[in-house]
Amino acid sequence: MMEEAVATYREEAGELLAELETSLLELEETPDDNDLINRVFRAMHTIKGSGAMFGFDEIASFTHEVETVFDMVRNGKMTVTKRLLDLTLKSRDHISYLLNAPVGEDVDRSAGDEIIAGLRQLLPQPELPQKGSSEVASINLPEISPDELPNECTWRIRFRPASNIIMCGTNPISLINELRGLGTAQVVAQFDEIPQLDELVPESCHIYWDIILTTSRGEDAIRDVFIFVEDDCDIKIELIDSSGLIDREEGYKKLGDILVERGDLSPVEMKKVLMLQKRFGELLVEKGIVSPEKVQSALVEQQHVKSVRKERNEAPQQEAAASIRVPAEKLDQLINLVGEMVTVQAHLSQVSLAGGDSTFIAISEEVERLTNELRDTALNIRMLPIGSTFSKFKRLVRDLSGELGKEIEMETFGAETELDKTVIEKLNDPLVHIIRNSIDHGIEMPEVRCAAGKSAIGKVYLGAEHSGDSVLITIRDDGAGLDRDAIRAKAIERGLLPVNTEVSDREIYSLIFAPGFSTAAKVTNVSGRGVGMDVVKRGIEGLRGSIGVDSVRGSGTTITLKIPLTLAIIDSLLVKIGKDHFVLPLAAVEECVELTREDIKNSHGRNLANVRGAIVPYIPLRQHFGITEQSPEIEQIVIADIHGSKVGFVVDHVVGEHQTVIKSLGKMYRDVKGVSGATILGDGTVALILDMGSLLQTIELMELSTKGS
Amino acid sequence: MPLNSSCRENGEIIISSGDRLTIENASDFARIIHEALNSSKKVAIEFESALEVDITGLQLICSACKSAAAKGCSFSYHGRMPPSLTEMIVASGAARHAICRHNNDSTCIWFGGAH
Repeated sequence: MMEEAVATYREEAGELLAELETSLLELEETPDDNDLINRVFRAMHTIKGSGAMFGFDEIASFTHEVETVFDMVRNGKMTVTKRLLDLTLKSRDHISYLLNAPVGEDVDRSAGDEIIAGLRQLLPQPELPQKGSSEVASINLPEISPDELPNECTWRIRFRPASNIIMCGTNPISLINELRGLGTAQVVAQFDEIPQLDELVPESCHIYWDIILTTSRGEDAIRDVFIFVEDDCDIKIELIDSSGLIDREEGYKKLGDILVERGDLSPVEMKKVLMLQKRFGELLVEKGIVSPEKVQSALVEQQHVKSVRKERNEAPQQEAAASIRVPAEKLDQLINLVGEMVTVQAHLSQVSLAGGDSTFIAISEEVERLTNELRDTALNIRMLPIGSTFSKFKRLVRDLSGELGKEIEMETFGAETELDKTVIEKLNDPLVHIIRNSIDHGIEMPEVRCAAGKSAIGKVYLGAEHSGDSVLITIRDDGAGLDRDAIRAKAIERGLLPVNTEVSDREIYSLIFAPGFSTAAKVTNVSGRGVGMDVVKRGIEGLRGSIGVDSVRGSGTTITLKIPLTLAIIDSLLVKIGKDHFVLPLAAVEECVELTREDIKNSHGRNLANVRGAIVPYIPLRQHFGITEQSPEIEQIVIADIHGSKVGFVVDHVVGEHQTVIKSLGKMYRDVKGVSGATILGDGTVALILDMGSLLQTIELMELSTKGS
Repeated sequence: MPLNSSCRENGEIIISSGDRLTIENASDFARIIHEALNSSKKVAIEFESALEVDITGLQLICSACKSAAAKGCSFSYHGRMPPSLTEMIVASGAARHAICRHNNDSTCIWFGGAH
C-alpha cells in the first residue's frame, strides 16, 4: 500500500515539477504576476508537505529552503530576479533528481547545498542565517498539520477584501474561483456595505463574500488561496462540518415530525398550521434585525451542509474521485486488446456476409458498431494535451540561449491540442533537435540581428493545431533562414544532387535531413555535426508523419511536422496486387483513377498519367514488389499527396476503406524502406502497410543511382 | 460606442454602456449615472452585447440601484443583459432571489434572476 502511495507521490510530484517549471518560465516574462508567484509557492508547498508524509525527507527539507525564499517573495520582502529564477529552476532539477533517486541509496547533496547557499545569499541580510552549507541537511522538517489529511470538511469562509484590492491588481473573483477549485463551493456576494453613488469610491471594493466550501484539502490549502492578500484582508475560516461528525449531529427531529410519526397529527394538518406562521428568516427581516442578504447567505450555508450530509449518508461509496490514475501499461494493454478485437470483428463481418444469414449479419453489424465505439473511446483515453511537452522546450530555449549568448524568447500556441500519449513521447527528440538547430544556426547573435534591422531578441514559435486526423506542429524562428546555395553546393559535393539539376526550394531544403548533412562551419556542443536533423527525419517517419520546410533568407525558417493523431489504429485504403493485399494510409490518399493498358502505352514508359489535364507521375507497385502474375486489363492509380506533390501508386484493385490495426514488423525488418508495418486482415492474411513518402524517396534514389551509373 | 447618455421625450435618460464597465471607467460611469438620477426619475442602461465587465461594474450597478431607490427613481436596463454581465453575476456569487429592501422589498431586477 505504501509503495503505491509512494508511486502516486512520485507521479504527482513529477506533474507539480512540470507546473513549477512552466510557472517559473512565465514568471521570468512577468515577474510581478502574483498568480504565478502563488502557483510557484503552492507547488513547492505541496511537494514539501506530501514529500514529508511519504518519507521523502531529503526532498521535504530541500524544498522547505526554496519555499522559504518564495515566502519572502510573496510577502513583498524580495523581488523576482533572474538569479532567483536560475536558482529555483536548478532547485526544480535537483528535486527531480531526488525524486528519481533509488529509495535507500545515498544521494548527492552537493548540488542542493550549492543551490541553498546561493538562495541564502539572495535573502535580505538581517534575516540571513549564518549557517554553513553542511548544516543544510539538519533543517527541521515542517510539521504536517492534521487538517492536511484527506478528510472532507465543510468550511465557512468570510472574505472581506481590502478596499484597495482591485487597484492593487488582485481580482477577488480569481481568489473565489481558486476556492471553487478546491472542492464544492457556494458563494454569496454581500452588497450591504456598498454605499450610494454620492459616497461610492468606484475603484474600491465595497463587496465582501461568504463562501461555504466542502473540500478534503484542509485549512492550509484554503489559506494558501489568500496567501498574498491575507495581511490586508479580513479572512475568517471556520469549520462547520466534517465527515468525522457523521454520528455526532446534535439536532433532532422537529416537533411536528415527531407528532406526525406518532400519528397524533396528519401531514396535511401540520402543513396547514405551518402555513400560518412566518419563517424565522422572514421574521428577522421583517423586524429589521438581520438584512435579507445575510439571511440568504445563512440559508445557502444551511442548504449546502444539508446536501453534503445527505450525500455522505446516502451514498458514501459513490464518493469516488472524478478522475483516477491508471498506469500507462494498462492503457497500452487495453489498446492492444481493442486492436485484436477490431481484427476479430473484421473476420466476423466477413464470415457473416459470406454466410448470408440475416440474423447473424445483424448481430455482426451490432458488434461492429460497438467495436468502433470501444475503439474510439479507448484511443481517446490516451489523448493528452501537448502543452506539457512545450514547457520543457521553453526551458531548453532559456538555457541554450544563455549558453550561446543570444537573447531568445519562445512563444507557444495550441498547447491544448491533444495527441496520443505515445506520439507525444516520441516527438520529444525530434523537437529538441529542431529547436536546438533554430537556436544555434537560425537565430543570429544580437549584434548581427541589430545590424540587419531586426530586434536583438530572437523569437522561436512552437505551436500545434489539428488538421483532419493529423496534428500540425510548427516550429518557426525569425533567424537568418536557410542558405539555399550553401545547401545545394554541399549536396552536390556529397553526391546527393547531380550537378546542373534544377530542383525546387522545398526539395533543396529537405536535403538538410540527409544523414550527416551539415553546412555548419564549426561544430558546437549544441549542433553542427549533421546528426540532429537525420534523427528528426527518422523520428517523424517512425511516427508515420511528414516534414515540410519553408525558409526565407534573412527572415527565418518554418518547419512543419504533420503527425497522425494515433499510432495504434489508422483509417486506410485496402488494395490488392495479384494475390497480395496492401494498406495505404487514407490521410494522404486523394483519389483513385483507372489506368488502362492504352494509357500505359500512350505514356511511352514514362509512367505519367493524365488526370483531368494534370500530369501525375505514378509508381507501378507490381513491378516494385516483383509480383509476376498477370495484371488486369484495367488497373487503379491511387493518387496521394506527398509533401505537396501528387504521386500515383498503381494497384490491381482498390478493395475499400479499412480500419487498420498496426503491427510492428519487428527488428529484422526495421530497415525495410517503404513499409511501415503490417496488419492482419479479417481472413487472417497479412497485409503490408506502405509508407508512401519513404517508398517514393527510395524509388527516386534508385532512379538517380541508375542514371548516375 | 462611447459611454454617453441621451434623454427621451418621456424624460427617461438612457445611458449607453460603451464596451466596458470596468475599473478604468468606473468613475466616469458613476458620475454619469449620478447626474442622470439627479435630473430624471427614470434612468436605464443600454448595454453593448460585447461588454467587458469586472467586479467594480457590479458594485456600481448595486450602488446606483440603492441611490435610485432612495430618490424614488427607477433604475433599470433596456434590452438583453449582456452575457459577460450574467457570467460575472454568477461568478461573483451576486445572483440572489431574496428581496432587496432598497428595491421596495422586491426581487432585485439586476441580480434576482430577471435576466
